[in-house]
Amino acid sequence: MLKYVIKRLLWLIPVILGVCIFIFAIMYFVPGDPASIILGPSATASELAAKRTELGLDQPFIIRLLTYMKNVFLHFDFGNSYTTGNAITSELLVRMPKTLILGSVSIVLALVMGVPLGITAAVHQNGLADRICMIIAMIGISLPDFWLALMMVLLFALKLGWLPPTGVTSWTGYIMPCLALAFAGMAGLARQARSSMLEVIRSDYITTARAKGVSKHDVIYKHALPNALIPIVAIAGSRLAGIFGGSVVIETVFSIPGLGSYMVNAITNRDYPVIEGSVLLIAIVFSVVMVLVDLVYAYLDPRIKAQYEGSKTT
Amino acid sequence: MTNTIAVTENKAVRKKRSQSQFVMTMNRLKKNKSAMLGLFIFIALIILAILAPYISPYGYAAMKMSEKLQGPSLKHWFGTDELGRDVFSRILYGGRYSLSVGVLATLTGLIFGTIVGSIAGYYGGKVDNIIMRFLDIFQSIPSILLVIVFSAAMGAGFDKTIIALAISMIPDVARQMRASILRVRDEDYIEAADAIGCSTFRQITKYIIPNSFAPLLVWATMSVAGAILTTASLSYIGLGIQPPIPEWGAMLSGAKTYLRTNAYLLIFPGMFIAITVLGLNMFGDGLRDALDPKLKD
Amino acid sequence: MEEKENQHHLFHSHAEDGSHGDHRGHQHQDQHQKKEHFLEIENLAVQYSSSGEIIHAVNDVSLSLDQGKTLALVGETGAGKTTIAKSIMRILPDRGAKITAGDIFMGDKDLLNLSEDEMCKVRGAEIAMIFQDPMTALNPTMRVGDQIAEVIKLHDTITKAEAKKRAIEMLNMVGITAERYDEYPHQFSGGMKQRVVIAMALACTPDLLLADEPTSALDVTIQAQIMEMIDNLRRQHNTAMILITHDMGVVAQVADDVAVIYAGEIVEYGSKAEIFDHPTHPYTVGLFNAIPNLNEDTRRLANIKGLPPDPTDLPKGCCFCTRCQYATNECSRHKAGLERIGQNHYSRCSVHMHHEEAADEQSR
Repeated sequence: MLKYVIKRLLWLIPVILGVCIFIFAIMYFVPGDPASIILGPSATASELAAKRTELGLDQPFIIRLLTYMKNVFLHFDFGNSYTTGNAITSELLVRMPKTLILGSVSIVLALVMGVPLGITAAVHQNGLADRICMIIAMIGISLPDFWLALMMVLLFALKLGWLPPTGVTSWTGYIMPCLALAFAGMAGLARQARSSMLEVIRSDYITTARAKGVSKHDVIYKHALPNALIPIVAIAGSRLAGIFGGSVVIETVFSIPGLGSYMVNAITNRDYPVIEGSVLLIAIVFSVVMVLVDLVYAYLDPRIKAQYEGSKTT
Repeated sequence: MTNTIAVTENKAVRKKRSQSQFVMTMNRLKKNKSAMLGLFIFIALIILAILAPYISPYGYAAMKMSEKLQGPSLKHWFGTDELGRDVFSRILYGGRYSLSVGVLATLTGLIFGTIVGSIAGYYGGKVDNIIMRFLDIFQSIPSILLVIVFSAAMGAGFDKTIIALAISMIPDVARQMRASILRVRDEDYIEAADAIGCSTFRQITKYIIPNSFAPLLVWATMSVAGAILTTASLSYIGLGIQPPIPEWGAMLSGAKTYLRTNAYLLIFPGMFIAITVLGLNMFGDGLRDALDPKLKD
Repeated sequence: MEEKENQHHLFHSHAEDGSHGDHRGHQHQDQHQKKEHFLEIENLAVQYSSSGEIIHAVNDVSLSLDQGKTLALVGETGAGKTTIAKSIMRILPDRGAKITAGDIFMGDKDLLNLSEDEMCKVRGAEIAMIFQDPMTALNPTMRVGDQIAEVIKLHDTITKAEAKKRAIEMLNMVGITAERYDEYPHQFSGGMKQRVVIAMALACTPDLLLADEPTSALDVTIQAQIMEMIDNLRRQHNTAMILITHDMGVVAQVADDVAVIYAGEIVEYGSKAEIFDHPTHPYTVGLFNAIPNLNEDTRRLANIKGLPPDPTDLPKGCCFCTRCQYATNECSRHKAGLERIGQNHYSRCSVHMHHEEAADEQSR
């Protein structure tokens, strides 16, 4: 098992390097002249030329790529913003905690609300609980998350005044963003949990368990559930991706000063290094989370565990 | 003494067994009420979008400043926006953009993803490895972020959004196609086709793709839904499609500041997005159940 | 035809179609009398419902079994054999399956009227089942030894360590070493998995073992081995067995009595000797004829023409008459009951008997 953990962690490195190269390459081919973005329309030709040299824009692609990677990975230097000229790294560090809180609370909410919802639906298949849960889940995956957020603000902040409409100065400011972000993920997980559970309940080994005299309750929670969790965890990854991506827009809706809003502002201002830096950072965090998901998956599924313990089949 | 009775087969049994896979799937699908409702909703919205120029009471850009920011009324069913444009008309026209972005992006993604996946699956070896590593990198970035990155690089606009969305779909389709090919490639009928001199291209098009069709169909339905949602998000943050084009997400973006005062500007476009996606999801679910009925009862 | 004897009234089924409504609560006259046989199934009827259609899987089946004896349940796929076994254990799917009539008595227990809790105590401890497909019968995320220990611990108040010890004993009894206790099912081959299933079934020394085609999914080379193991182990504890199979060779080896099932009904029932030497129902005759004879040189194997009836639309008369070469007009109109035709031999067809008797007479 340890072997698998190490293998998986080592695999992170080429992936992150690859993501970095990929994002850099895309940004490299963006049309437009960074120098004029920074200096503005009133700059003279020689000022522009000087700026370009300063930024190293006349260097060949490879040199620029390697310089960037060296800066990012060895010095944690993401460069400077085109619009403010400030170091991006410090800004990223200041904003990252807020995004992390938003993201992790949403993930936990999605898991804690979604999986039990799906299992309940499966256990009461075709009953009232099942239908209600599935209608909620169906609506959940169909609503645009930022629109749900806007509607929540409309109701809870503007009409009822219970929660602050924007900002996260107090912890109450996180409630609506996290709920809005978690809702779609929760719905997707519930649907997956339900179908996973139904498929497992239909398995032969569940009949075997019943034939042994295991009580209905234990059949579901001790025999079916551990097996049903495996595909759920496998799917959880893509649901989590939705939360990471969705956080960008949600931060905009609630004016949360996190990585997402940093990125969105940079898009409007064509501040490409900022876009590069924030996407790269989010991608790194996401990859690490995916490694954790893979590890949980390997732990749950004995077939994978055994692969790395070197046992044989006879 | 006994009489012998001619042996007659049970006619009903015989009829059941002769229905093809496709017909059976269609029948199951038709019986599924929510799937049919979803399909109906989606088709209804398409029809509304196509007929927009004929049925909308006003043009989508027709501004009348004297009537700006009015709530829903008999004259303007969904009210007017900050430039005096009729919201209902804009929603009808907006459907054209929102829906077509979703469908076109999915189609493009399917085509290119199929090509990439087929190459990887069929040739295997080094080619496969390289392609898979690329896909791994693609999938290490949450897909919405990927679309944002491409969109940010290319800028806002109808075609550019389609391209960005399509690129982000390629890894998924490629993986599915590759898996199908790996599965089908080793089957006996492919060996037989090879033996009679069937070319690679023909093998892929005539045997492999039709057999991988079913799961991709379900994916495509859900993917159009996802593309519509993503486009709306993109438009909201300044990419995607921008005002004055009445794409539903763009309408939401333009109405941001009016949440407190003219909430209807935000309620209607969002509702339409939700209904469209809901319809597609309901149909997609029904399609999945019809193709694989074990899971139903 | 011999007169019906009252002693074995249980095997006279009612001539009309099998739906009696819900009989499960009714008081049976004999309930307070000591039952003649260890296991008695009376007039069992089971329905499945699927997409609006009702499938009459089991229609008016009555069987009995003595302690320590083996009854072979023979028939083709879909005839209802597994349904009968699952009904005894009451592990039919909750949704879509219903026991619509009948009683099942085992010892002094009225199985169909026990509460779910009481039935849980019976399952695994007094009745056990071995399933057809060993590949999917074991829980993939639970260690093999623990799965055996689980059934032991469920029915006996002992410590975990004790249960583990007994589980290891069971593993040894089926030829698996103790080191493999902690392994997972995917690490075992099909035959080994089936052994684990057998160990699980016999761990609590049940009184009745239901074996549903236990060797069908295994390699031919180990089929005999596994069958022998099952038979030996159950003899040790005098466990009665209902063996579901469509392999007449296995029946010949291990069965004491044989029941032939077709379209959810028993069409012929009797001791092994009677059934093998004097099959009377045309379906049974057809089954035996279908066994290839190694000593003869034939071009085509004999088969029974036609198909079984649609279980959602069973015919009014005899279920087999459309495929039967001895059928008369009466057969399609009137469903015969199981009639006693020998010391321990019952059949649902008198036409064939007459036909054979007439043929015998003519040949004299």
